[in-house]
Amino acid sequence: MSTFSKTYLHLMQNNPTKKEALEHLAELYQEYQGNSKALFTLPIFLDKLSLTPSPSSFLIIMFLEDKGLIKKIVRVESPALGGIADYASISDVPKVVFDFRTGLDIVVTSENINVLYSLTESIEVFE
Amino acid sequence: MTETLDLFNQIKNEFVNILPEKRLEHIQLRLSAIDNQKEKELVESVFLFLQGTGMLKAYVKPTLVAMIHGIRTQAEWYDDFKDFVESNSNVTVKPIKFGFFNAIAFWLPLITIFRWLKVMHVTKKMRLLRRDFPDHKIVIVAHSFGTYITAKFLKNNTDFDVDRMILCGSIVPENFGWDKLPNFPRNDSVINDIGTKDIWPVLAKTSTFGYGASGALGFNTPTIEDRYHDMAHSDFFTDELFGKYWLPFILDGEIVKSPNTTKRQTKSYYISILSMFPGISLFLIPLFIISGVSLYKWLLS
Repeated sequence: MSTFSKTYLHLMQNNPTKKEALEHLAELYQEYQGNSKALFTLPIFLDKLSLTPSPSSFLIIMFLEDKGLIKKIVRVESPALGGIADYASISDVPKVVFDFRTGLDIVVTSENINVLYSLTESIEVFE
Repeated sequence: MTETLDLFNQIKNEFVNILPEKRLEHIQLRLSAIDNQKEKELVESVFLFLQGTGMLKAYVKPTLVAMIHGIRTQAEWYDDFKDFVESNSNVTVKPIKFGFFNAIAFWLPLITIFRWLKVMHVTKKMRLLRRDFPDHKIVIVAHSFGTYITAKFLKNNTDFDVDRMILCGSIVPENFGWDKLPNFPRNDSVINDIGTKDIWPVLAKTSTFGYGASGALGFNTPTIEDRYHDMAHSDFFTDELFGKYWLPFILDGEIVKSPNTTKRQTKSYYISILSMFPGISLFLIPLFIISGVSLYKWLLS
């Protein structure tokens, strides 16, 4: 049994309420082979985990982040469609960002911001 | 876990009432005020989750109704309407009064300064409303001469956006260029309530210049919903009509059909002919008087 499987098994045994989401995440890992470049918007990511937008789903996402299974990226998107800058935190997002897609500076609002999730390359879980 | 869920709901309730364009600034300020790194990350995660899932539904602007009355009245219906709407919804209702306007000032065919003064008066009041309620959607409810003022106001203040309009007993010319106004509410957002027993719009049109019979004959344009009721000129102001027809429109833009729209009788042929000629009475009445006097003199001689 690989370390990857052991980690999941361990987490599922200790967190039965999150078992289903963890199973779906394990499938996702296998599908993308832990490719950290694969990015998912929040609605798609929830769908992949068979979750609905709800406070309980938020707790599961937080749990997965805490355990280092997924990583969050704050992306500023151009009104002309497509990301133009990535940040680790919303606090780091500046008021104005140069939009290389249009050659113009854009004033960032919450509508330009998208949260994306990626799978972490290596899993290091300590329970 | 309970604390996290409480925080989740707290952040949701907080941000749902903030304009979308202000949310980023607000969350950044909020995060900068938190010292504890764990708490900061949690608040940020909640915000991003709410934002990313669309749980911060689009900010719904509150609604304000501005009432504009007609002539020869102190607009007693204002109080009933305000009381009804405010007790049945979260809508704010504000009266726009321009004082008693007598029939002579209303009628004077060439001296329109009295009408203009009332339009200016209402313009000032509407501007004050916008100043005091900058984030509200404005719905105008206008009756009779108030509809004329509304038309002039929108035409002269194209930067003033109105969300919806209810016109009743309208005396705005049927061919008024609503569609040319950039601030004219679009997408079925204007109702013209017509009383099938209302003769005043026709009288206003035929007795002088500048008015129309849209409150009797309709605007007959796809951009305005003409809705007929079995009523006279000032019969609109009842709780039944407020609740059944006006409130759904004010709250959700819902246009409730009136059975009288399809069952109404065709307008009298004479009224239809007469209403084709604005100000015709200005010529017909003197003509009848002169003819009568001439006939009388001829009979005497």
